[in-house]
Amino acid sequence: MRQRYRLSHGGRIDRDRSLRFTFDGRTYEGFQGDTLASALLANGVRIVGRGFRLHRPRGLLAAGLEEPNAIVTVGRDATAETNLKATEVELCDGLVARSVNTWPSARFDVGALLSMPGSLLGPGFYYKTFMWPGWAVYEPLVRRLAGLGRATSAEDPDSYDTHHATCDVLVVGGGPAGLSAALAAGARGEHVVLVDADREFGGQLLGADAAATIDGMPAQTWLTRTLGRLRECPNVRLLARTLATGYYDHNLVTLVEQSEIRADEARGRGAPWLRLWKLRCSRVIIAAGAIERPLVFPDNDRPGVMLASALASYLNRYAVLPGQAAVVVTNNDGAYDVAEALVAHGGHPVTIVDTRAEVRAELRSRLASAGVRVLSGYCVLAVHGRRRVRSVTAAPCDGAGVVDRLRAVKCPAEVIGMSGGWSPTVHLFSQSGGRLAYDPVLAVFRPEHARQAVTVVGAAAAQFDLEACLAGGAAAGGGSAPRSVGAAPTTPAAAPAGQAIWRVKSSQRLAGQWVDFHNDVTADDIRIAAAEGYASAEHLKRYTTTGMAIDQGKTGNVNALGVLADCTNRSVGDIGVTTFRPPYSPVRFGVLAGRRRQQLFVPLRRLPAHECHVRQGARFANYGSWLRPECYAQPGESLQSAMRREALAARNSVVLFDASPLGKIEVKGPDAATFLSRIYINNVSTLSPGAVRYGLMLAENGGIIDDGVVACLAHDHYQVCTTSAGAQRITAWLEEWRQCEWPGLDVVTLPVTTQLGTLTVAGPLARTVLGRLGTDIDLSPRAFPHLSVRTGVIAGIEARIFRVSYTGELSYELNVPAGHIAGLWEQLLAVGGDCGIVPMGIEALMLLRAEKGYVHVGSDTDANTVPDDIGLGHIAASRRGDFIGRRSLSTPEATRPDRWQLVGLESLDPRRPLPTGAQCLPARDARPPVRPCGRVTSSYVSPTLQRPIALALLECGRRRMGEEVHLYDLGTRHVARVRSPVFYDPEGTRLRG
Amino acid sequence: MASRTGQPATWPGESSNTLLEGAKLRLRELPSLGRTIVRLGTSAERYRVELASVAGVPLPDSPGKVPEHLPVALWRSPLDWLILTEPGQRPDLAARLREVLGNATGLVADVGDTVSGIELSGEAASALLAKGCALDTSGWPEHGGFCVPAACARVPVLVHRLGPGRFWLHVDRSLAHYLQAWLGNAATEFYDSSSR
Repeated sequence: MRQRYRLSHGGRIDRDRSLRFTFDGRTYEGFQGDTLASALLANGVRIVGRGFRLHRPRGLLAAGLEEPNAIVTVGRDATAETNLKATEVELCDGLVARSVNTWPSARFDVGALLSMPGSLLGPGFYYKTFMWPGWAVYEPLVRRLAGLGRATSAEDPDSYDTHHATCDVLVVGGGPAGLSAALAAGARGEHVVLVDADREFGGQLLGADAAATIDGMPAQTWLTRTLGRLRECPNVRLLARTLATGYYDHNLVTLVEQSEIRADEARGRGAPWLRLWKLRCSRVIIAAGAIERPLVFPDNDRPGVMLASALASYLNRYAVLPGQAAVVVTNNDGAYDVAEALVAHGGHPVTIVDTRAEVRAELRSRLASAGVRVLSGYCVLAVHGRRRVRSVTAAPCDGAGVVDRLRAVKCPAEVIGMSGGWSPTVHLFSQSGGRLAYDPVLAVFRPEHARQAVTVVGAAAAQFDLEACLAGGAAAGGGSAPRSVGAAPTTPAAAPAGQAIWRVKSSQRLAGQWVDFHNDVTADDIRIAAAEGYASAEHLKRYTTTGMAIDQGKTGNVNALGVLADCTNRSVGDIGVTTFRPPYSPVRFGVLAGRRRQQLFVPLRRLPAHECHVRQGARFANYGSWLRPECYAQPGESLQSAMRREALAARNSVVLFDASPLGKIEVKGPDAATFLSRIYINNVSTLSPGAVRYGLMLAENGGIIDDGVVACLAHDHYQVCTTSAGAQRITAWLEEWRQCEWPGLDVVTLPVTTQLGTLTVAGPLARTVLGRLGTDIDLSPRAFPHLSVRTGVIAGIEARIFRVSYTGELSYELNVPAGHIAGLWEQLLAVGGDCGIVPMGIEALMLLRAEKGYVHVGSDTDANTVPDDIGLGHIAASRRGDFIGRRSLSTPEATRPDRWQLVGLESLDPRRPLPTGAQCLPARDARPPVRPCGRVTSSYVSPTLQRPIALALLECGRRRMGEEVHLYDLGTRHVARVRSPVFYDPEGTRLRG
Repeated sequence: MASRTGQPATWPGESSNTLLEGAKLRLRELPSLGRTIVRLGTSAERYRVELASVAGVPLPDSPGKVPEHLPVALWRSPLDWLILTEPGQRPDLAARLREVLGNATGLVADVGDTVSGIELSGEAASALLAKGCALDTSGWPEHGGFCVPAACARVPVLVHRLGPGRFWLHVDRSLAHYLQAWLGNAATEFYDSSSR
């Protein structure tokens, strides 16, 4: 029979709109308004998932986002989305869902047979079960068994949006308290945003009994009217299907809004399906409600055992009665209403098992008249039925949960509703930095002290009484509530009377009692962890995994702490609570990435002569946020061969290189030289106008952060040239020191990196080519020597020309306004044609500088490399006056005799270049893992020298010239000889030519 | 908006390169306005009045309100402004500002080649901006010019509101291509591609 468990009437479903869907390959029917969970329940599907660890069959526990068991993958192939909770999936026609962590299905799971015995998978099993012969042996198997759904590797066809906004009041939660708050704040004219994760507003009212009333009218009528009033307010924005996922500093709350249209429809239109809101709020009202706690008793994870509130929700909102015979296990009055509702909808027989010895007489007689049997002072001793609940054995218990087996009674049950009280949903409040306090009367953690402008109302503030929720919401919305939380908790129907029973105890062995359903953690696991010393909440969490992953302890947190308290004879308040982290519920990576994918992944800068490079056939790559030519490959040419050709042209004729991204910062003022002399390890004060000096910049720890040249343009005016990747970082570095540390220096800086484009002409014929452009600058070596700068006109353009070299050849860097770069590029190629000028990409430049032993900061250095490591210690040693990092250079660490120093390496096998990153071994026969004594930082095959060359940082490198070193890289071994890092033209005659 | 003569202001480049046009939104690339950056050290602050006089526009103390007409000086950071002038009207501005400064601790750069502008206009302009920019525009005066430095799509920009539903984004030219592509992608829901 279709939808056998669906009631003939009632519920917020549209029975005229039948929907077909599949779950684990079987086809079912549901109605518009169903969730996947309610439709499965209506069809009698009891097993919806498997335990994460032991693969025990699991049924639905909840009806909301707190569901820990029914984790599903929805969709196929590229559109498949995994690790969704069946309770959050709106049913639609053609929906395809699969359980996760099961094969072939949740009903028949081979994993349950293959899974390792529970005794091998106890708490902390990673650390203690797989000790012999070694974790590496077991790791592949454990990894295969671990995890839930598998994410698709196909490209995500959905699109996502981001929206930044502000509001006066954000109300999180559309239940009675939230609606009241929004109404009151809206009436004050404040700009209000009200969000709820559900597709409908109403919160608990949606699953409430039809008899419930508010303000003398049926609750549903009140809900409709209130929503109508809110929709009429132009200053109130209602966002259904919107989850508040995180709460950050400065009252920034992130929301994920789901479009009203279906995902496939949005896909078809190219419209975003999910939108990430970054909402900055003047104040926040959290009315996120509360989550019912399970009770911990033997076999409480059997399919058919669910939260009493979930039972009520399926009954009232979705018109599903999961079973005739029902048992309600509780420690509070609230669940009695559920028992009555079960009877009213045809449930029979219905039994209440109440852990409290004393039950109010009025309640007892009311239930008795409804035909409900009440067993007070009882605990559940056993649940019978492996794949679905058949019956329950209950036994009297004392206040500590110790049962009397001899007086046990058996009750028929197809479904069990359990209620261990309610835990306020404090996740967002906790994320905001708010402090929680444990309330031993209610056995809850509730908001105590707020750090930001946030007010918590309703059940989230442990106000479980409907009147109090409405009043608290209205007061908070009206701004009259205290800044932290609403009114003090009122007498809650859901409060356990007397001491909470955290687990069932017996002198004889009991079946497993589950505390955390999602992470498959039992009370026994917690007992063992406590016995092994993991007695703090944070240690327990990591050792047992309780409260982790996508569940974030929604149903299990307080029970886990309660069991730990019980095992260690402490109070829950003394143990404290673990940290709640965003997101509240899993969020798609796609919505976090937004438009940052494919071509829009990162902002890539384009060169001013980009089109010229395209025409030249450049192969582009991302270098330090710039899209730059790595080479100009001719048809059929590989990167390696293009690089070789371009490098040889630089050595033999002339090349043209676009160096526009080089960082350029102008520094001016009477104290400019003093300022720069503190920034560089070099003394800039001694530079005369027209002179250029190579310099190093250090961090405070003495590590090299950048290198480049500084040019003196006038006695109070300099141009700092940084590495291309360091342009923005060094600009900020200079400003930080200027503004924060040395505000007394009269100096100003201005980054001109993109204002001035830079073209480098390098090679023996560079001067010839430059001269053909027509310039008023004397290019002769005497008038314009190496390491100097001249300002003048070239090709009719005002230019600042540097004679510096990173290739080891005669080289000029032409700095001209960026708008002239493309024209100048074309002119240089034209006039240099008969000289054999070719455009050169970055890869050839890197090869040329490696031949010269010039370091590339970041490749040949790291954050700990000091000047002496690269052979420039003499600059700092001879320097007078202070500079950033100076003191660190004299620390024992910086002066250790065994520091790694820059050397050249020659592979002893010329056919095998040394891999970049290869580790130097301390001895020939050393077998990894072993502490390396160096590494290869750059490696190329030199077309000029016709052999492989490499730069490396090597322990005591400069003392080891001529020695052989053994290297290891990804399973391969190499042998090389240590030599000077300068492979080419060590005298520097070419660059001074 | 009114010009200094009381006539409706004619903003330059009405016929410049339109990137995207729909009923709710228009995106266009601004023409080559005159653009000059002035940055002063604290000791050169005394030159500010004279610099403003040469530029023909006050140099504001803080981000916020700006004149509705060109020339306009946009605050970038303390003692740091971008001066916008009509295309081709003040080719010598950078040189004249340098003259004023002489040896004082201040730098002037002609960034006409380097800074690019994108205009967003139409009823969806604010919504499009909110997709990539965290600025809170709710406190801005309803009318008049307003400008603040910010980031849009992680690209540093000066957000320059000319009037209701009309924004200029001043961006480094090296990043303009990315920002245009990003805005075009984000604007999909505001226009019908067939109407382009």
